[in-house]
Amino acid sequence: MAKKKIDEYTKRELYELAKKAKVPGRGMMDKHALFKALGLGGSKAAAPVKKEPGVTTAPVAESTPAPTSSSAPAAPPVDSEPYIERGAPIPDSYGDDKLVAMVRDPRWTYCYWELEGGGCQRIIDGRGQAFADSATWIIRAHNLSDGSSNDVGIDAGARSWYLQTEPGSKYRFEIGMVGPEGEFLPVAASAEVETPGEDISDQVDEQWMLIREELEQLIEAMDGVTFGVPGSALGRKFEGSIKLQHLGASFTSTGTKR
Amino acid sequence: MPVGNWIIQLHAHLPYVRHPEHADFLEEDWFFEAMTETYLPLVQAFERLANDGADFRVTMSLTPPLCEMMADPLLQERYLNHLNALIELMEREVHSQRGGEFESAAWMYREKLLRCRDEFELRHGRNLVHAFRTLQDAGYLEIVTCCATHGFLPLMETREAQRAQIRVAKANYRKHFGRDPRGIWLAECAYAPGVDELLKESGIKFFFVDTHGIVFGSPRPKHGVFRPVYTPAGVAAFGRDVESSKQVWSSKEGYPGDHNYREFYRDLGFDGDYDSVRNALHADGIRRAIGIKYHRITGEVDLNDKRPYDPGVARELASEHAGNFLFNRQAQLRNLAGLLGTEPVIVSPYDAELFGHWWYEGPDFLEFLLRKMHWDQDEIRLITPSEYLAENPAHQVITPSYSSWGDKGYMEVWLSGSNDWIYRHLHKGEERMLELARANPSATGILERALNQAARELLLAQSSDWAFIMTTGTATPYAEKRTRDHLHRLQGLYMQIKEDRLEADWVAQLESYDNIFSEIDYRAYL
Repeated sequence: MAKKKIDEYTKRELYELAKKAKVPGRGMMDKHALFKALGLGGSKAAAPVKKEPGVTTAPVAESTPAPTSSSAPAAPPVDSEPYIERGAPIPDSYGDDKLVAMVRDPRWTYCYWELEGGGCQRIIDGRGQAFADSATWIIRAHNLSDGSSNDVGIDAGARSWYLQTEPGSKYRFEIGMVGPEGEFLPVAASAEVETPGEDISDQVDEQWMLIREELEQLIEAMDGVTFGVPGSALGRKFEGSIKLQHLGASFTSTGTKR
Repeated sequence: MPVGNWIIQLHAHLPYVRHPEHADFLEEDWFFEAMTETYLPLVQAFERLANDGADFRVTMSLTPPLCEMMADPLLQERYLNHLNALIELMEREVHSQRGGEFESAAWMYREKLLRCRDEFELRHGRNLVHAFRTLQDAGYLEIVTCCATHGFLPLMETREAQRAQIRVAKANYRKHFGRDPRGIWLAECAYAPGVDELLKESGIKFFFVDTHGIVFGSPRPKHGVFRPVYTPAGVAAFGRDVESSKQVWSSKEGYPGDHNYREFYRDLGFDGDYDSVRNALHADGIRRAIGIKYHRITGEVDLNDKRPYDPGVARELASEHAGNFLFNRQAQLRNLAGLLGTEPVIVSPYDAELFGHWWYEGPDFLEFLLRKMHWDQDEIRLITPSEYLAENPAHQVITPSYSSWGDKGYMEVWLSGSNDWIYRHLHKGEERMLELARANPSATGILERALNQAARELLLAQSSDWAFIMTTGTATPYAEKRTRDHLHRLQGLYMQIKEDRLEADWVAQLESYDNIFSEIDYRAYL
């Protein structure tokens, strides 16, 4: 008897066959997994995904290919893979010269870039195509907190990179070409970013703030007056002088609190 | 004699999933399941407590997308249909399971589903937001807001986009709750220094951060995470307590993993007779989980060896665990009070969906706990953040650390190989929205509608849920589809507005598909 392909079975049929064959875990399997477990062919089995509590998304055994009236270009089906819609088309890039740095954690920052705004072309116009062809591409990471810089070589076709950083430091990144004499020609620069520390802070000065609704209203009524309030009822809890600052509706005190 | 204070914060959130263009859409199940297993049971528990005279305080974030879905007539109608299909199934099940080992579970589901339908339709008029609002107005709940579409603020490019998420959230909160929010649950507790200034601008007085957000803050916190701090902008930050979190969150060490609790991965949708469950499945007839589960966890055994679920035993266990949890909190607070020399406050945030959806007995546990806290003890004071700040107005000034409550404590879950591709597009979306808003500060008519719709599309594309789903891999094609569809629509609106060739029909179509935030004002971006 000729072997049937997966499309020639319904999922129910496969399930019933799996039930007869007492395939363990059949209740959790999708059509591909059942087909494979029954040894009927070589199609991909999709393992059920075990989720931890705390993941607030529902486990979905299979996506329904959702028909849509939008202008999504249909991906041609590959073998017996179901068509899975992944949304309407969006541009690959936007014609800018930009470098964006996004801090992921104390030791890694993600950079993405676009170099289509004309900056590269200007370099080629100035230095020639041969220069551009022989140049290497780098991201220069400027650690603004300790004044150091380091270069990271990147692949020519890359559009993003994860860069290692020091914790608790300010950075600015540049992307550009390095010519044969080691000269760096930046094409785009990122904004300044700051990585978080990864430990308890070294700073131990204490500053305290007291916010009370009634006080807020009082300050609004006073309309911008600043004065010290030594020894007043409001200050009794604190040692040291109290300075009323017009920080909107709060005042700070410095000095140790018992 | 109170030794310390306890704030329990339940974060209730679902991404905005509403597909009027399809009669039946799989991912709308997330909403239906959460309604049946978490939100309605929580409301029932709170109302029972209030009626029985048990005073309690629970803090909840009900995110704008969730409130919008609860208030949406289409989703209300679909939820009712979903309930009816399940009730019909259970009416058959209580007969076919008679005398069998699943009988008591079948009766339990039938009864609970009938109650859900009654209360949803008759008591709450189909809009569950009313129930939460009533509980807040009565003083039992403090409801805080969240970023408009649960957008991940630290990974946005512009301050304006962050500000818009907060402004839109504030306006939406006012629509649903009749007052301004005093507090906010930042999506994923994702905080970057400077976000607090935006909160201050919108009149928000407190937010929450993960433990290390406080502990690694600068300067170092004198009372660790056991008192809130003020950021330099004067907004209070409450830090998550680890001990109380682990007891409930951990599937290995925490209560939810107990062998007598309900097993999540065996479901009647897979196990039941096909013809019988067919109507409770989706239109495509594929077997999926339907929320009727007859087995208990049993232990580290194969799915096929799971034993039947006994609701009575599980409920007793929930009561026991509640007592245990209370005992541990008392010990913890007594110990802390001794160390700190001041009254500590423990803050325990949880995803609301943990209670009921992931941990089926969670709402029972919570109800038992709140009952015991009222009747059986007086050492721990349940309190809300606003009450706590009113009584304790002085705190140390600290800049919390860049942080989130996601895996590893920073931004990796939302910024990794599986999802980093989205950000150049989202950021471009931000730039374009700002450009449009600035170029048209006083738009009216169809132009204003188009600008408002552009704002909706950007906000929906920014839901951090999509990036999260791409990392966990649970529904990646859907998450990609949502990201691309909204950006595509934003792009279309952008081009049409810039080139002055708005198609009113198309704008109207988008307004019907992506109808969140009827009250939105694109000027939130100015």
